Amino acid sequence: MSALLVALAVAAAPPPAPRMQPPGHIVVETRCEACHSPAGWTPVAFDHSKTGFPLEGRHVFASCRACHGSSTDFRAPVPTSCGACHPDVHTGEFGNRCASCHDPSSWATQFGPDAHRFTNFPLTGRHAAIPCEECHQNQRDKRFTRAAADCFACHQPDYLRTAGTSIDHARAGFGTDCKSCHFPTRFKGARFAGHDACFQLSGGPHAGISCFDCHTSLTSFIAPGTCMTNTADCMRCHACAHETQTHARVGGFQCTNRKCYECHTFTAGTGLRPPATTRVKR
Amino acid sequence: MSAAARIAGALLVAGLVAGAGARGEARPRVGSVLYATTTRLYLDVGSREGLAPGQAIRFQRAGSCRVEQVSETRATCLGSGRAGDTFALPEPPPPRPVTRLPTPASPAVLEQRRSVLASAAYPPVDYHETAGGGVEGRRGSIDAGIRHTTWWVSGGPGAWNQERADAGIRGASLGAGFTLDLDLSARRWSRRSDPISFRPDDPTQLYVWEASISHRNGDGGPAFSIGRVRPYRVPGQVILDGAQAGWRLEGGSEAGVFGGAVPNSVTLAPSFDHGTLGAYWIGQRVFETDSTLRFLRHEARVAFVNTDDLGKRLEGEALVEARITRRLDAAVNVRIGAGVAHGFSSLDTIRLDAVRVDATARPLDSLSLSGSFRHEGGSVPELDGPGHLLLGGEARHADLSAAWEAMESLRISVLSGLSTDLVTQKTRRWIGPEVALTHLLADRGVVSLGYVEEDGWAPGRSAWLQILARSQGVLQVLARLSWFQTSQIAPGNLDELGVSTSIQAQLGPHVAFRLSTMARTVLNGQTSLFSAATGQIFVADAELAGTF
Repeated sequence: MSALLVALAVAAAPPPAPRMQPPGHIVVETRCEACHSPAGWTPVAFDHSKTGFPLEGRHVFASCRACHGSSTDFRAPVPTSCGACHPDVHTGEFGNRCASCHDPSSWATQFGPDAHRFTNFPLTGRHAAIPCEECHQNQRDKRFTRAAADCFACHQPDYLRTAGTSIDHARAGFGTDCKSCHFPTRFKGARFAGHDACFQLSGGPHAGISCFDCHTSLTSFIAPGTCMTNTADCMRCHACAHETQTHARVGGFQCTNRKCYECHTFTAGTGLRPPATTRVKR
Repeated sequence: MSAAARIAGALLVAGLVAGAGARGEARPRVGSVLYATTTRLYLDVGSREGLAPGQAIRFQRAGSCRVEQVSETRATCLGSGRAGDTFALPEPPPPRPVTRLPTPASPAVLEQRRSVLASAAYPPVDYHETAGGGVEGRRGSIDAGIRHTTWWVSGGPGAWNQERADAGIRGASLGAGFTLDLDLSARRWSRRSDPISFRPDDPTQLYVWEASISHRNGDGGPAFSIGRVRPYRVPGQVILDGAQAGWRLEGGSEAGVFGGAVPNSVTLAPSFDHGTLGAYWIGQRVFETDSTLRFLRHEARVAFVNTDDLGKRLEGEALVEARITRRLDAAVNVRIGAGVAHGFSSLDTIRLDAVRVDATARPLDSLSLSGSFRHEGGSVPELDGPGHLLLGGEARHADLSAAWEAMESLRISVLSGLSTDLVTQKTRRWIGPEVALTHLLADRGVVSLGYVEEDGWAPGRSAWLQILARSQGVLQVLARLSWFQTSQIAPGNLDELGVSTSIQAQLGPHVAFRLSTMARTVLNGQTSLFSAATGQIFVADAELAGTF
């Protein structure tokens, strides 16, 4: 009955005037609750994911007008590329693909040592645990171009710092290709690959020993790898009494450094191997 | 409209009203979340279903909220949850006693009331943008953060520790259309040990990238910035102590000039060794969604530059970015420089300083391609490490990746790239697959597994397993296990195993906490991860950040 009364009231009333849109709302629907809540006209909520640009991270807290400008026509297209709203502090070096290093939660970079692998300089060893600015010193432009992937470009001072030390690289004639001897974890514990041509250190009983376990000096090198240092002191470790006893049947044996080296190079192909009974004096 | 038609329409409405009442009897006693922000949920039911402010709601899946505001058919709720969550409705309130409505007023009275309302004057309420709204009407924001970072290497002299405070103000209104922009960072090295490459004598450092006052109105007119300016969208222009002034057209296009002294590249201290003076053009246009060209951005710079390392130069740079349909985004950036000698009477050493091309294409909805090419001619030299190779930096880089979303929750990608150092002619290349499960844990988790084969001056291979879990804007946790093998970068092959984690927690609408750690050990052929011959590294970074 009540429905019938309502129907009659509607029928009796003149046709309604067109409903007015709030000023500036260039929209066709008037489902206010789609955006507004009973708390008031602000704050406004809207399921932005339906637009193809879901609001993620900090974008959730951005005001509508920060992107849509002063227009109230929220259906007008808005550029979705990062550069359309955010100024590029990298002066264009990385183009418009901000997401390679940043995510919407903050501008804190997601680029780390793992991602550095996709450059011309993989961060290995200690390089992965130093502040970026130790290599990328330009703070002004926030650019990250590298001068060179060459060790010496950064480690020249370390090379020069060996002057006056027991392993004076320049006097010993060592090259500047640091990685031929050093691991990227630390300078100490270097390997000299060319040493095997004279005396094997990469394997065998002398693997892993340090330079001064044998050499009395490195400054008298004529050139690395020439096998003519005359500074190797075998007797530091190998006691004469013991070696004389074990070499009793070796003709011409003398307990001197040079004599050891005439037979023992431990280099592959010589056929000589260390005696099984070798004992080391410590 | 005839009377008969009105009566027919009225009967139809009566039927609909009666039908709606009948359907109301069968309404299920379950409500759901229509939309969720970080703090507020929007429910599809209201007081008609028995909700009242202050009422506690527990979701059937997980989480709860407390009803904030209620209308007849909708409600807002404060708490945690996400769109689609459902909850049981309370028992409906007892039906109100039927009250008889008063007799409707006569048509004459109704007509009189309508005419009174129609003739009543009301002032229109229009929106007026606050003047100088920064980037296209931005109201301004303040970012601040404090941060601690530790770097530690086994067998080394000790950890490096840095504390820093960062602050940024974007487009804060100063009144009369003026805005303030600040971007600065204060850093303190509480512990460092030799060898130190970067500012070894300065344990305390202050960097100011921006401290400028601007006037830039979205409706057009004069636009300028003065102070330590990060020139607004001038391609390739670094910060300067000076001014930028131009004229803005309606729609965002702008033309003008800029000039000033360029700060020291390492300390950012004011310096007169490096200056620039030039002109710029900025244009940006958004087209209708049904047009082929959807978005076009074009910017240009012509400048005279005087640097202490490259001397006097003329530089020209242009940037064009376009979105073509919804399938292709492309950007091209070119910079050309020429030395100036003998009072501009001759230009020499014209060189291509930079060419950058970026493109992203989506030929199919399930397939996306992304690639870039970079040629860096080294016109902006970098004080690179203690070696200080001032004129270095010439390099080329290219990458191409393809991602295929084979299923709704499966993405298969191929990553590839190459980078060449033109100074030393050293090149590295890499290519490999990545498989990702993208919609795990009810859309909250992503697991990816990748492998890359690398070639060049430091060949090797990498593999990783990454797990990402996030809870809609509140918490994000990332864990990654990595393995690397590198050759020719040491006397022997180098094997490394790494673990990194990153936690981002939004503690409230304005405060966030971030913690990231990274640990690696060099296996180096050792069977024990922590034997004396291996090396371990550890990096930890914690930040408390606020945005207001």
